[in-house]
Amino acid sequence: MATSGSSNFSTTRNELIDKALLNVGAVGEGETPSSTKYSNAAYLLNILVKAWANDGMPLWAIKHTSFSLTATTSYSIGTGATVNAVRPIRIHSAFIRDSSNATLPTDIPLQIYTRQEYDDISSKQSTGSPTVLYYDPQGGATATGTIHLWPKPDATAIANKTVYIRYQRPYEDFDASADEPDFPQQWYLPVLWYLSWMLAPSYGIPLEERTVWLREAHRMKEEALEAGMEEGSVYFGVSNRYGR
Amino acid sequence: MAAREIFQTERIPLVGMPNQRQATDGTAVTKDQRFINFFPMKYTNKLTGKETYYLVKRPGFETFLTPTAGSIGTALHVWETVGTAETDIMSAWGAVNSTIKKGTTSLGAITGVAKGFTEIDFTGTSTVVIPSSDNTAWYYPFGGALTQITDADFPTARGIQGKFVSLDGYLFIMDQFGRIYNSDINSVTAWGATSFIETTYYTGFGIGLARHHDAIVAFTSSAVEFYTNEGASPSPLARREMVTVPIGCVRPTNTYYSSIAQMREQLFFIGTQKTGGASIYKIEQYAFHKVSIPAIDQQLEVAEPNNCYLTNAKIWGMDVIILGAGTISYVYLPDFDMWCEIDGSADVWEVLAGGSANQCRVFSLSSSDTSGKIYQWNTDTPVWTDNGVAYTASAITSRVDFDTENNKRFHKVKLIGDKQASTCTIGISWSDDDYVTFSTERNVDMSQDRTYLTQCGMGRRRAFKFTNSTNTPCRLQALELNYSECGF
Repeated sequence: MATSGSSNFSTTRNELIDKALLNVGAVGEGETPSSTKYSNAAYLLNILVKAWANDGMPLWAIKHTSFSLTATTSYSIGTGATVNAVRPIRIHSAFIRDSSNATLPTDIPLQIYTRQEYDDISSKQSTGSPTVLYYDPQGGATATGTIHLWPKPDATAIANKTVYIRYQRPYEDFDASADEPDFPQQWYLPVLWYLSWMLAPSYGIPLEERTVWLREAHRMKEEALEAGMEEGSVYFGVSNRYGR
Repeated sequence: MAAREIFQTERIPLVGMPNQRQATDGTAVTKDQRFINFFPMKYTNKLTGKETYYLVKRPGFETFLTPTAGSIGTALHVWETVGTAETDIMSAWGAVNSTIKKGTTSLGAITGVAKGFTEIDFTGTSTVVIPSSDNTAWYYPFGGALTQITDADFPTARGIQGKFVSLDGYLFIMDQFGRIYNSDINSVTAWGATSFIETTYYTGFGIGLARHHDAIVAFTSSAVEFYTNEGASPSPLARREMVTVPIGCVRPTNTYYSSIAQMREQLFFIGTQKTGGASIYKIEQYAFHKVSIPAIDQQLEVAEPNNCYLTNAKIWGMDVIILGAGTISYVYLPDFDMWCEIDGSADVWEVLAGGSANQCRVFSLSSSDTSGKIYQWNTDTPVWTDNGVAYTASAITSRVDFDTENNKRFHKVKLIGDKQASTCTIGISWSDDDYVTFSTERNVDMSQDRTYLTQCGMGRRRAFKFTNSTNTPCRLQALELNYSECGF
């Protein structure tokens, strides 16, 4: 049996909206939704994927970037900021690379601190090679996040060291009708059914039916999430930080 | 009321009356329920009493003869006489002076425009008598010559109205002042100067005559009166008392239009009253019945009654009265007391004529196009085109809301009807905005088993439209809707 040999199926914002509106019965087969229906559904679709940022760190949304050290403890990160990258939702891990030996650079992990832990540092302006990173993502769609390092880089660190971070970037918006989802293909199904569920109250779909849709959509999403997690060993250890 | 259980099914019979609302701009009313080129039919099981309703696509009109290409037709008649054939059909052509044809053979021209044919047989020879728009009258004995009635006492000078009728050997014609003139007994050509009776019960102008049982019916602009042969002289007629009704009859502006249609002993006419307005009335057993419905009455006013006409025939065993009313032609089916519409690329049904001899077929011609053709409204081997041109049969329902304004999701729309032998495409669309816009048509094929659509969207008050233009028969029975009601 011949197969297509391709696996590049994709969809667009409006195709997803078309199908979701069809699911709720807002339009019939072959009917073109009104521009208001499109814009309302696109709004729901965008806030849906924004909410999904809370779901952890699927592999495809993990990115990395690096920045050079300067004589400061704080570095803004975001589009056009000091660290020019998409503002991370959260920083998953970080290390500092010592390139004083250019042929054999050394990577040293940075501890990711919580706000409380960072606040507990008494002398934030002490200098040295940074060992701690605290990330304050801040709010608002256009805000920049702030990366705090401790100790403040000294001259040696500034000269030889670079910080690398791995972070979860936000899912991209659905702006234009032809925008493709910023999701792998296995996510198209839960996106479609979650969107259908979100549209349902506006069209008076009975509660019983909406409940079934949500349950099914959630199951689809869980399956997609599982496929997006890294497979590997899990290690448990004792924290050597004071008070932990 | 609580929301209904999901996935309900309702079956809606696809018959009904036109119920268009009044247009506000003087144009034809086109919204609301309509049935165009779909005739309603009812079958009753005599044992159980169960009634089944159908919408049946009307048959088309096909060319029978082309007597006078390039001319409009004004009159048509099928001979009743033994020895004649349907191909001897009489017709009149031309908008100024009519050329009279028997079949495709010209019998010559008359002055003025022929308004109709009346067949009589006073002397053993079937003869048609022809009133003309210039107030002259003509006759043609079968196999003879077309001749003018030249008797000086014939009321040409007073202006004649309507067609001739005959009773007991007399020929009658009405004049425009309401007199009923009669010929001498058993004569077409001899008329007396005093051989008339006045229709003066109500003041009005003469419109025309018809027959009803053993009476002559005189239609004037103010009343309908009945006259029977009482053997009097010089007019044999006397008015029948107690049955005169003050409902007038419309005088068509177009001289070869008729506002009166006779279907055996039933008469139909476009009636008016002193109070204004116009309606279609039926006379049966000397009793009057208004048969038009508000949508028809409104369209009569929009089109203006004197621009309208009536003609009639019988097909498939059904009486068919056609009312031409401006841009819309309505069909009244007395058997079911139902109305629908007839439409096509040309109004090829403006003059209908059927015969009781030979094959009992129905013929027609158009007084608005110049095809010069006589058409056959073929019901034994029907075609589904008019003069070779496809026409569209449409059924538009009232708004379906299941007695609630809540949104309804329509999961399936199924068309119940006959399975056809060949592709019979029905386009299904709907309007959720009070007939302003209809969705893009989606097709089902009535030759297939699955004649339904799924995923039909949502609506609160939805009107459905079904259209068929294929050259095939089509009989629909019901619309089955599978839907679920939303919470609001």
